[in-house]
Amino acid sequence: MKNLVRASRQAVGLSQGGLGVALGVSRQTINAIETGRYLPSLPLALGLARYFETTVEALFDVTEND
Amino acid sequence: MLSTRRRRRAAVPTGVMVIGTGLAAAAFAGGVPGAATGILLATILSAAAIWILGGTGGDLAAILRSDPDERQAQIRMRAGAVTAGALFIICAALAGRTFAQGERPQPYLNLCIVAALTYGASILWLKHRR
Repeated sequence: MKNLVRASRQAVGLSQGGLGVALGVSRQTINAIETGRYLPSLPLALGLARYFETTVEALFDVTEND
Repeated sequence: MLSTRRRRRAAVPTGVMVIGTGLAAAAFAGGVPGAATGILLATILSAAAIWILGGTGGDLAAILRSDPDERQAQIRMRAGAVTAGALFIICAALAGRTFAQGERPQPYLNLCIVAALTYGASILWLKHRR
């Protein structure tokens, strides 16, 4: 699943660690989400969307193969 | 009073110490003081190593200090499932081997039965919770 988490994070000049602290998860988990290795839970996806003031649908590109 | 973070970091080493000390006490009571000393030494070294690792960063540290986020908790749960699966396969294989040797397959068969019953019971329990 593609997502815009990295682009959104870089747009606000935040590190992976900083975003992790803001959302209560580790830097490694943010990295895993950005690289598509980990699909976040619904609460974490909503947290990411709220943090970047967007929607989950805009942040995560869901295709039929996912 | 210990902080929550320190308590979580101490949880796994404490568990290791409790189990290891119990095993060492059993070995001592069974008249094998050499094994008891070895178990106790290995327990103390393991608990210390886990405590030190728990103070570092990264996924392993978070899992070891019982302070994982959702992804790390998933890794821990899957690791536990893989471990349980491996133990079941080993017990089943050892039960088969002892059967083939014409002996009673204990305690391996009992362990397989307990594992199968626990698996079934946990599915029944968890499907109502989640």
